[in-house]
Amino acid sequence: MSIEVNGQFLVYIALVLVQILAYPLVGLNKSKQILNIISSCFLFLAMLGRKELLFSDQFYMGEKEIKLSLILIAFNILVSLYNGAKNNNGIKHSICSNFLLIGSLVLIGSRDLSLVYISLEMANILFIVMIGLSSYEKSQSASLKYLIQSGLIGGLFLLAIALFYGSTGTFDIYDYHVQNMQLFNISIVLFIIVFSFKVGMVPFNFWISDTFPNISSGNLASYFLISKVAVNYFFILFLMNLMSKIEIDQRSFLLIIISSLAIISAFVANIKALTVKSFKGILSHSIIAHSSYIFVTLTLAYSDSYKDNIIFYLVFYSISSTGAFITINNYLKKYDLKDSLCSFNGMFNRDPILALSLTIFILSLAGMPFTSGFTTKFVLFHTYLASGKVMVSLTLFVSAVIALAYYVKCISRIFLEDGDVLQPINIITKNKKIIIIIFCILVLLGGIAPSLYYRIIS
Amino acid sequence: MKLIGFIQFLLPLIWAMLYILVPVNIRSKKLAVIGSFLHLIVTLLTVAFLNLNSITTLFTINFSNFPLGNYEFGIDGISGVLVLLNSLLVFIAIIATYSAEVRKVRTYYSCIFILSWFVNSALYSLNLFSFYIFWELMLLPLFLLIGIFGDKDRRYASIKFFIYSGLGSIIMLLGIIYLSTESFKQVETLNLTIDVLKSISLPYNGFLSPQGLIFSAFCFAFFIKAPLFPFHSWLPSAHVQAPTIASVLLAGILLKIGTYGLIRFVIPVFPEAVSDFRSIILILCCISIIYGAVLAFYQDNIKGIIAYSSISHMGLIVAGIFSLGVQGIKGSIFFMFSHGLATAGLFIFAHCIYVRLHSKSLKDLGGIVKFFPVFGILSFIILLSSMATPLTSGFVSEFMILTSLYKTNKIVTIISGLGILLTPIYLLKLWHGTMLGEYNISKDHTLIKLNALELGALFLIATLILLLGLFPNILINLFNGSL
Repeated sequence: MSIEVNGQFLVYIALVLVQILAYPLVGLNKSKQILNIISSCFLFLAMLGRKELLFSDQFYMGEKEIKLSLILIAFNILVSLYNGAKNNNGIKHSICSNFLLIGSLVLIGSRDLSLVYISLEMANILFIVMIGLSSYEKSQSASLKYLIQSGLIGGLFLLAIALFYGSTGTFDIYDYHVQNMQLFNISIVLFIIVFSFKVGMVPFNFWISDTFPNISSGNLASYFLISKVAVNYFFILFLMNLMSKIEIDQRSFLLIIISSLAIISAFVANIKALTVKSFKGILSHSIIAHSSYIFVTLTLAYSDSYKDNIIFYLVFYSISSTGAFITINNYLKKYDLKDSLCSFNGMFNRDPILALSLTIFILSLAGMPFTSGFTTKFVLFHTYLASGKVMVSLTLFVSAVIALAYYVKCISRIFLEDGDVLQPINIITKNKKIIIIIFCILVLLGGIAPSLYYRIIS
Repeated sequence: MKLIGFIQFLLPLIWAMLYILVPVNIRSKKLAVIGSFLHLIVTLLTVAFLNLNSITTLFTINFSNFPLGNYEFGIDGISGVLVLLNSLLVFIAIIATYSAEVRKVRTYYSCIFILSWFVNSALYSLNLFSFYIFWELMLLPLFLLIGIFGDKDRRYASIKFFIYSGLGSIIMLLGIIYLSTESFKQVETLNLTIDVLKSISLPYNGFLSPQGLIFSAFCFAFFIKAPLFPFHSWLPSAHVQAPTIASVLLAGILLKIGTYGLIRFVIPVFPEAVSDFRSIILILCCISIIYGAVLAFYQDNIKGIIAYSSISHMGLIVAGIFSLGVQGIKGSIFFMFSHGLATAGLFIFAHCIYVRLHSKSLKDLGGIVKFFPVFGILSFIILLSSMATPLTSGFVSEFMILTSLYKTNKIVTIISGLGILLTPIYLLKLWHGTMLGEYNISKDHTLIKLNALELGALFLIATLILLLGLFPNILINLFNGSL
């Protein structure tokens, strides 16, 4: 393989490092934030129009990966704009987001497990920092809990890498020959456990309901839009590839386990969400259910043709989830309310724009037509049914019916219940409003004209 | 001429946008009357000038590389009749409830126009995907109309309505996705037009075969919407709690989208399953007809009686469709229009009584005809249509359905006929309980006269009922060529 050292990416990393070093030196928040955005724009332009990106045998990005990277960089710019330049926290969050972006881009292009481990841990540590930096009451305890759990999973991941190396004699994840099938199988199981933790499959889901309600909007946006998309994308393709290398008997056994895990997660999360009294709690459980829909992708035979659909699902699902969380956070902050369902009574009368935005995001998560949630689910289930996964699809659909009950509950709070008359305590800045509206437009665009996305990505 | 169709298609959306965007002082009720009247005129022009004997494609939005990007809109006789009913009922409902107090004018009227647009779009859709999209979207404005502007238990009713309908839609979606995968395998297209759907060969050997399962998924969704026993329980609560305008649109047109779906997509696409399941469905129809009629008799709430009568009548419409005879399907389409008019009239009748006497209970009412004789006569004509009395539109449609059913299954015809015999019992009870007998309200209560708009709406409905009863071909000629 020829080696082409790509200077622009290194320049970007240098720029991010300069930001960290310059942080105490540059006085004005605005200058710091502009530096953030410039560095992302620089990377965006550097990658635009490229067909492939190659650093060494360890790192390679094809056309799809480059396009996904461009989307993530665009998201990073949006996150920086959302964080604004009014206070130091916003700047800190944006710098963390830049680092998260580096980790995520490296992960997407990794062909080597050692590089995967480094990038994954980089993203992980930053996420822990981001939870801790958030200003909620339980943010630090949530950060600590996540640290402990992700530390354990990090250990398992390392063990899986060691077993992979032991069974193949290489760290290369695409070009290897299995010498010891037993070790190889164990490593796959461990990789699946790690991925289950990352997406929050039952029984590895506890961190989600601790973390998401206690992380500030900007950080959550970075996590959802950048890190989660990259991690899911990498793991889905990596595990699909690994599964295609094992024997048929073991493969069918693993497929049953994966399908069962997805179905159990979907039902547990959706049923649990019915009993939760907080809005963010409901959304957290809905995230677990949504993850279970994409988790079934692992049961498909590896094919490059799935890449478009996987990216489509991950990107638009992340936009909907992020949009919902940041709208809720802004609303609660504006009226200084606690996160309970009652706080949303009469939201439409208090703040129609936020209420409509939140409704669009919820409808998207519920899979209502004209929103991206419908098209992403359609694409996903179309792929499953085309591959003969009729029973799994049917069962997941039934779980989606349960989900309908809590989404309706949320919408009825917003529109149908009467709330107290409240005066705004805090102001939502213009940049935040604009970003929420941009997300709404993206969600609707993904629902009405999804082919625009396919034109870009294909 | 296609331009008229295009304007007809877009007008409700433009009016909904107007309500959202224009300043407060312009967002009056008059704007709604103008919009709905304009829409009705354009619809009449569309129906008059477009060729409805076959499908006339109005426009296509084609995003080539994604199945959901294809939107194909057109009109034929079957959809044309319902498009006409839609704009007619919106106009009638708006003028009939003009004097009623409305809290949030913008939300109220934008919901009505957007609902009307979704109905229009679903009817115009020539592609299963776009039909599904608008079919599902119809839930939202109606959910808001019931939930925000409804009666005391409006939240319960709106949530129940949403969950029932959503459940049906999700199951149908699974069927559509399966159909799309089969379509891609067999004819290499994801554009599920009627012709493509007909060309897909789906193996059938019982309920668990692909055709059996997809047929069941579609029927499940359409039977919930229609509604047919045992999928009906959302309807009475939705009707009783909904504001008049929502009740009119729900009973008048939205239920018919379910039966329209059966005619458009189920009968032509799943022939083996239809013929195999026909007996079971006809039994369900019989139960619906009798069950709806019996429960309507035991209701005390006026809207409850109308709601259960709808279940009974919709059972007959579905029976007409599943008689599989041309006469039966024609009768069902005619009945959709006729029932839409009659039920709308009955809900307006209930509205006029409620805004004056603040009660929907038969126990509290009686003797109104002494004060409002014209109202009494007009409501009686509407009632006659529901009872399928000769010279009214109801008679023509029920006669056509029963004739066709008789060729298919005599027992079903007898049971359906029995249900029709029960109709006068509960409807005359309704009229007797409200119009005749002693005036039950306190003597001090001064009754406000019916205004010209309310009487005008009822007069329009009564005239159409008699006109279609005398000259049914006016309507039948519209959709005759499409069958």
